[in-house]
Amino acid sequence: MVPLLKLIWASYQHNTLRVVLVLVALITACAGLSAVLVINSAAKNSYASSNQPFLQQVEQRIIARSGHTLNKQDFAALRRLGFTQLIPVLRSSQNILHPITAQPLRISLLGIDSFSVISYLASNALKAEKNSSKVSTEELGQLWRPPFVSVIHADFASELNLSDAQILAIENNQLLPKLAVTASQGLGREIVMDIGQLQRVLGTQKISELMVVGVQNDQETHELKAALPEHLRLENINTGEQAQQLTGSFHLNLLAMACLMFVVCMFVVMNALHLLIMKRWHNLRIVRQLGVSRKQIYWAQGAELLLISLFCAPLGAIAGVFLAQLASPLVSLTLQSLFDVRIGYTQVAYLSLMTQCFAACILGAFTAAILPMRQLNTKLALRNLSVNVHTNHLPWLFASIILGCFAVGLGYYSQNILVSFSAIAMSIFAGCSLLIYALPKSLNMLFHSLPERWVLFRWLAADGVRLSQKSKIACCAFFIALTSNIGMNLMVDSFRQATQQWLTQRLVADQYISTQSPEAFTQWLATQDIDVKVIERKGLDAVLLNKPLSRTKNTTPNKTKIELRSYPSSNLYQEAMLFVQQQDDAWQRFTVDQGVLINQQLALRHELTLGEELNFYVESGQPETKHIVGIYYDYGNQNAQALLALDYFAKYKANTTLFALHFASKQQQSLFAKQLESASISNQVRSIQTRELLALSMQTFERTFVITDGLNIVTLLVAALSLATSVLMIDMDNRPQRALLRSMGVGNYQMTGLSLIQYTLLSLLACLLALPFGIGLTWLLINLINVQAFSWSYPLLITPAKLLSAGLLSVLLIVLVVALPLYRLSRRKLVEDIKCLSF
Amino acid sequence: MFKFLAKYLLLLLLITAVVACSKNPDEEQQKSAMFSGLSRSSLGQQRVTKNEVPKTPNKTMAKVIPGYKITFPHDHSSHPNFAVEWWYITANLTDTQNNPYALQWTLFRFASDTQNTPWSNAQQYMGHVALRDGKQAWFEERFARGGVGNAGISTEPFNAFIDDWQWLAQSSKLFPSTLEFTIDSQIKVNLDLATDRPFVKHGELGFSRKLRDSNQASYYYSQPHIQVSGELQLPRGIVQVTGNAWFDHEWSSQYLTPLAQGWDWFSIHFDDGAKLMLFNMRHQQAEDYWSGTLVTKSGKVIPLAESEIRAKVIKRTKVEQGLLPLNWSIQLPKQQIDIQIAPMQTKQWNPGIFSYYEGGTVISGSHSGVGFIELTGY
Amino acid sequence: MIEVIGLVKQITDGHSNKKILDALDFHLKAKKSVAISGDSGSGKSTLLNILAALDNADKGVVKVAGLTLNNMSEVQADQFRKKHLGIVFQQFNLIDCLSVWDNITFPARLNGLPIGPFHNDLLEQLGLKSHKHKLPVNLSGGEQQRVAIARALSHQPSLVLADEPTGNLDDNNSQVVSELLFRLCKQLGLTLVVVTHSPKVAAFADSRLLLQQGRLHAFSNQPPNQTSNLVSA
Repeated sequence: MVPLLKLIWASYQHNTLRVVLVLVALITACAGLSAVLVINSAAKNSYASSNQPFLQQVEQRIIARSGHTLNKQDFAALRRLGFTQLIPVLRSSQNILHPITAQPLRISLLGIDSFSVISYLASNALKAEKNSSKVSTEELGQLWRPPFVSVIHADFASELNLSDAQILAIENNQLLPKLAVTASQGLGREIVMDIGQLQRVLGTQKISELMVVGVQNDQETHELKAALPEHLRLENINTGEQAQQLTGSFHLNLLAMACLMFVVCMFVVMNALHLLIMKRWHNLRIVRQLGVSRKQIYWAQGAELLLISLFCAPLGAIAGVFLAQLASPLVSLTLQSLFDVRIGYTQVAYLSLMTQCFAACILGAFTAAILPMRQLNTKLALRNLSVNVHTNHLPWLFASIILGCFAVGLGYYSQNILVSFSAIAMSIFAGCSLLIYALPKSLNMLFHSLPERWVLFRWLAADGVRLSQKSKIACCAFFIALTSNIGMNLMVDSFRQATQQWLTQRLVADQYISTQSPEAFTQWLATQDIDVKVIERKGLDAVLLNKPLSRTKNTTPNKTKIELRSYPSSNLYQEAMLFVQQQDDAWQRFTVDQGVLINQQLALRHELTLGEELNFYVESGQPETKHIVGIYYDYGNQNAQALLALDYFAKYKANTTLFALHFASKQQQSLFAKQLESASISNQVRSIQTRELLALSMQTFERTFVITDGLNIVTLLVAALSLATSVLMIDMDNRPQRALLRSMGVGNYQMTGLSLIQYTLLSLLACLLALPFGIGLTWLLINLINVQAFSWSYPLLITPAKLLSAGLLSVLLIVLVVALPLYRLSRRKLVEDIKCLSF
Repeated sequence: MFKFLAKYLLLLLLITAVVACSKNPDEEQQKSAMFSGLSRSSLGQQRVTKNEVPKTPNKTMAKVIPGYKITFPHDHSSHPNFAVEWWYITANLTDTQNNPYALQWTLFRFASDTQNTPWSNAQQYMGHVALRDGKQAWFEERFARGGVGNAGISTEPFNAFIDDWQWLAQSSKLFPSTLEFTIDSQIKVNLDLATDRPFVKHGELGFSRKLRDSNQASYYYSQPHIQVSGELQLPRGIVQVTGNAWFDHEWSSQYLTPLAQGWDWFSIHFDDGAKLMLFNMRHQQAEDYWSGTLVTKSGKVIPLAESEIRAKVIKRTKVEQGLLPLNWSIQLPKQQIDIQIAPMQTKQWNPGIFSYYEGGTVISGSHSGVGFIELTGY
Repeated sequence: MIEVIGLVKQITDGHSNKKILDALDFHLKAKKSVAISGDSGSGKSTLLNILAALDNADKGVVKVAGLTLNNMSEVQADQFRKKHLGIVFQQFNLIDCLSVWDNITFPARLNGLPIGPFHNDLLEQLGLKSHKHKLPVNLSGGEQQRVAIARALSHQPSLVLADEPTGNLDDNNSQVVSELLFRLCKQLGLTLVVVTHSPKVAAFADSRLLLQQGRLHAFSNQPPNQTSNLVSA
């Protein structure tokens, strides 16, 4: 074994590039996989511990109902009733100027009543409860008494380039307590300080919520609910199991992308191993002739692979950890905005992750080595390798049809996301089979259609058939990457267009006002001489009585909450509504309070259709029934929602949740803005102009999909790399033919150009096939995955120009990547190549 | 070459294992003195942590000076200009089967260096409740800030409360009143308190010196004649109880010197109706300083000088923090009192962030009775 | 047709330079054929490489069909091979994805020459008519080598180089292929250089040379006593 390993080691000096390729591919695969494992694991730990700063097991919170406020008196009253597990917090998001870079930075601030935390922890310590936070009272003491610090997690601080003892100023020029960098549990992407300090800095007496610490059983929850005054309610925080369910699809998506990248990297490894082994086979033949058995050679190869894996796995895992740290801010933001879940900084079990990486690396490397080893086996066994060009491609066509039928069947009957993903995978494999069938067929057709005098192009087409055979797998990898690229791009683009159109259509007012004190605002507005029409949006919380589906995860029987909101029925607002479906007389019935409009989420989760009855009751009210006269699009809303005419809300004295303002002119709007700015209620009111709202929404949209874009590009690059390595691999078999043509006077650059055209043709053909499959993938993502994950969908909008540009850019990328090894090959001296013609 | 490779791999594996296995060391739950410049509770820890350097608050606190006239009901209320204050109720109860119970309800107030914010003011409150039933001991500790609304003192009617622990009178007078609290949701206490006897001012009409030739002092008055009746909801069931209670109200800004080790405090209800309060300040450099007050059965209040009190530890018993002097011999020769004090049960440690020994006692010797013992700084 | 004067070619073998061809002189008139033999490592392939403009001489002058091959640019060399050269390899080396007909007509089409009766005639003379549309993989060794010959002649080059054209064939096929090669070259008036070990093949040539110690000598069964610098055939 040792002499064989020495031989293998000696061969590395002559095959540096190939060895480096194997190493880089393995490290990249491990890095991608471990990054995603770290991200998913950290998120999972965060959900599982349901942690908040300094506290664990926070699964519920008390908040004010729409239009009401939560204040200190509410908290005191509840504490005096014995509910000592309540911790008041104030959340705010403020702009600060970075003390070093002077750049504006938007930071989340959290004010927490450290005393309530201390009290709770003291009580917990006495009870010696499990999951007690290990935070000391001294640490908490720093928050509420001198030196009055605000704490920031070390990772967050280094991400923002902030350091210990810095003092940050917020936009009203007030200074935050000085920073203390810490590694306390439960801290997330926020700066935490005492609630009193934050209130002082912001000049407010508001509090956002009361966190309920500790797992509450039904009895305790019931008691707490019964004790709450009218204007407060108890709700679950999206954490624990719920967060896991909600975010399951996101994490699955990440994992799927990582696995895809891993698989594509394994393609590269396979090709690179192929190159390595083929370079080596001549010596291995000699070694065989000297009496070394095939088994010993395989053991040596296996040992080499194991050592390479052992080398690459830890490097890849560590690189992955760094990648995860880089990506974690974006992931946290995405999860927060998509699912309203909180991710804090948690410990990750690195040992277990590394072990998984090792295992994946070894498994992947050995799997990738199967084909090259088989090829080696063949070469070692036979004297001459006969070129076996399969001319019968029909089995691939049949396979494609069968897989396609399976995919359609799975998709049609799919009840959950896993089955839907399987349908997608199957359709992609069907596409691959079709590609393998179509490539040689198309090239053959091209060959026969070219005039005979175009001898080089005919050679190009004929040889292309052989090339397509040899680079099947690389072409498939490219096809998969391109299909998912097109599919994802199209999906995001459709979503973007749909969102933009929907927002533009729905936001018909000039300005929107949200406030906790609607009466104060109304009173103030009445005193201003401004020509404006005000549309109030009323809100109530109701409970659905329709029977839920067995497959809805987020609801318990009889407990589905629905948001009831008022909607005007003026012509303007009628035109603004974007329906999935509506009855002809929808608006007539709606206006007279006979009909209700429901959002797509409610319709899909409970299989409600037009004409059916919606049964519900407003809390403390009687059960009611309304006919569903329309189902509307409501992108991004996690909740079930129903719209009713304004009159309906009068009997419940519902509060106003939002004001929509229609100004007579732009001057009136400017006047309003000026007067509001100087009004005393200005700090109680949040005002936003429609165009700002649109811009903000689209900004949020773009941020959400940055990760997907990044992963797409990475996968495409890896596929391109895979194709590039196959170029190097195929070249070894190609050399005699190249040399032959060169010997007949075909120029060097001509040959390179022909090869480039061959690969471009292959890529173009793959691209042509990827386009319809990409569109199909988009359709599956929108109408299956999105519906199953979020219970809403949006129209598939195809912009041909964007589609083509996505495809062509990918092809261009391939061509550029492939041009490099081809150029390198063209630098080789002809006299060396000719040797394989035994001249 | 292979040796090099093997060495490298070993190193890499080692580094990997180290990186993977390293995790933050567990933080010790530090019992730190939160309220620097304080008080009997900070002596619970022998260690001086970096924040704990006993320094006086930056604010200028009011000083305890002789000659101040304590008036009621005015001085039942809070004295926020003083650094520390407490309203302390201890009760020796028995049930219908004559089983003894010792009960404690205390509300502490501390003034500190903090600012007034929209959330709270510069006062902090701590509540301690404890119950012993001869075998078991229960304790709970709560914290709250002033200005929030869930802790404080109000006067019309008198109400001392922290969360749902509440001592509520019917008027600005302290009695009659009700005392309600829970302990860890296991125990629920509901007692009626009543008395018609006058308050007892300790020391020089309420100016209670804690150490000889020193400014260490507090304003201190008690009501030792409280009749208690009510019920205790225990895990084993509801128990009707009656008995005697003792109320202390004390406030100061200069209770201790940095060299004080702690104190021992005794309250006794003699069977003949007399009451005795004894206080011993233990000092690193000076002799123990004893002071006290005897209230005769006729109601005469006799301040006791240091020379009149002979106290001796009979026995030290092992409790959580170490050996504590739970058995005492007390002689007041002038009053012909020669008694032995023994704990009602050994297990009477209050294990809060501020921890000390407090519980019921049994008095024997020349006089019999029941009482309370409080040991701090051990 | 071929004029080689003072050809020197060295290779670097570790630390020393070894002269593979040592001031070699070689002249071959047009339309003549010559068979060159020599031991393994004598430099036969190197000589053929230089004649085919695949490699450059270190010293000396090499002229083929009136063109000086020394220091030709890559493009010029490609043009030279395309127009003036036909090569028959030992390993047949056909373009395996093209049919027999496409293989044969490849060089002619590359040069933009018309495909006509000449090529059909070639096909027939080489007995390949029935294999016109077959792929090389479906032909026997002898048939493949005949295709290779036809391909080498298809654009009527000035010079045909054949490297062990019968090296992979049995005796019968060797005979047939050799005869065809020499006859057709004669018929078409092409200059032919054949490297071969086989006396039977060499017998077809107009002259025979031995490459030894870096130089060409007239072939004889006796080892040469005196070296002759100038050998003309």
